[in-house]
Amino acid sequence: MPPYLDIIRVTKQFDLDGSSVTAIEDVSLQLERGEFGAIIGPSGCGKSTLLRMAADIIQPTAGHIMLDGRPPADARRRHRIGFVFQDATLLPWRSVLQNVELPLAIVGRKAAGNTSPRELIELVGLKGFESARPAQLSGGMQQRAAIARALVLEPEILLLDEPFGALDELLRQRMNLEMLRIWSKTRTTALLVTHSIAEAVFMADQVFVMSARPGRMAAKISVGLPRPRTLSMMASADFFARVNEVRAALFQGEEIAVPENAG
Amino acid sequence: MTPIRDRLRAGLIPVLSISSFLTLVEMVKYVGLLPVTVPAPSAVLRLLMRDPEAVIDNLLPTLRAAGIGFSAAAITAIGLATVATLIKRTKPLIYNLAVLTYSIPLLALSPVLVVWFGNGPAGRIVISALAGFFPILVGAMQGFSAIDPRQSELFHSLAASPWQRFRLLALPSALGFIFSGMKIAAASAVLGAIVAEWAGAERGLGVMMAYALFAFNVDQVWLAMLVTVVCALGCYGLVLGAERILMPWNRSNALQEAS
Repeated sequence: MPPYLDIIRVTKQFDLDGSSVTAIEDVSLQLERGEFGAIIGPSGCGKSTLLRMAADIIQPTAGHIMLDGRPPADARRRHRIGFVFQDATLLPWRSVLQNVELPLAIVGRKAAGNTSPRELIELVGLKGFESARPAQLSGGMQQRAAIARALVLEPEILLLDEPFGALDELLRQRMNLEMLRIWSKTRTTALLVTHSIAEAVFMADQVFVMSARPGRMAAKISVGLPRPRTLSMMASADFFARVNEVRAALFQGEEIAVPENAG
Repeated sequence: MTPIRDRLRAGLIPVLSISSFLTLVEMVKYVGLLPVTVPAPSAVLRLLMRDPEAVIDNLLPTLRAAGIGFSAAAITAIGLATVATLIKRTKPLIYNLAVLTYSIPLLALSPVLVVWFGNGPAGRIVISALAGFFPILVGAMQGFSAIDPRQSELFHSLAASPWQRFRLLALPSALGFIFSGMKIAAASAVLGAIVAEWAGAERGLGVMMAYALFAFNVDQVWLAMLVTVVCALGCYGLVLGAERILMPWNRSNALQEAS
């Protein structure tokens, strides 16, 4: 059986002032149904671009992407993709509940999954804030609302574009745990773009390491830690071994020494 | 400090400054340092007190023409901006037509309309509408195309239809721009109605102004101007109030803008 998400030798070029710049070159990525994947790489490696191509927001220059054996445009039109942006991208004139209900307003009430918008709001820990406006919420709460919105149509795949990148370390840790809890309840396939090694290892079954300029797939590392993941796992030897593996793949051969008593 | 006290203080400053300015004018006039074309504020006030009904008699037809003209301008402008947004090809045509209407000298058009529609309110409503049309159209067009690119991607990822995108995203995003246009248009519609009344009307602030000018009744001219200013400001305030009620998520911005 083919993998649920199949990215096959994808290249993406952008036109920049008439000259063409290669953002991604010959990248392949496979993710099985129900798996949690993480893409990590330096800024400019095209990891967000790759995610946006999987979501049919932009088109690859060459190569193919398949979601359950069909092109992403098909999955998007059938509302199988849940996309969470870097910033929450809530509509400021809608309340939290109305924002979570937005996909239903577009697709129709019949498309609602088994979990109602109110239950989803409770699931992401925003009970009591249903009628609050986005501007009244903190960054973390806004992002929770955005996750609830992405889940309301019960997507087959959740694409997460550095959703917690703007949050502080403590909140981020907490949101990661929340995200895993929600994911384990919904059992969707998930692909997370991040620039944190620890986050990638903690969250994912598969970590895809990319290198920059042009963006290439440098390594694929299977995490293999048991689920559910707990914070205490982050102190385990296995966790450190995976983190070191990812770090080695990220810095591939470079030995970066910090000069002692510099200056 | 409590917000109520803040607001009282904010309201007190213009009241104090205007009344002290009027007192100063009154004193300068009393000692005879002002020309005959500037009356004493007390004389204008006395004129208003002597016959307030005459002022109201002239105020109501002007307000009515301005109100109907403004509403017609708002409906037409927002409607045309919607068409221009949904059917891209029509955009240059609609925009150029709007610029054309804006370039028409309303003072010259008014007598023409009197010839066409007679001495009734129709001509004055048309002039009022023309005066308010352009700022609303420009605001709406600008607003409909000023969509946050992220929110636009969100609607793309949700596979929204063009009409859903317009109704659920473009229209609410544009409200602030539309209201900015309507605030300008509200005052313009009043001034438009007055200009139209010069070309021929039985009653109205413009008629009152014209008669006072020809009779060289300085107090009356200033009274008409004063009522016009209050009237235009009042219409502006109505739109501002509507904006605050219809855009509660934007309240903080509205307060900042007003203060």
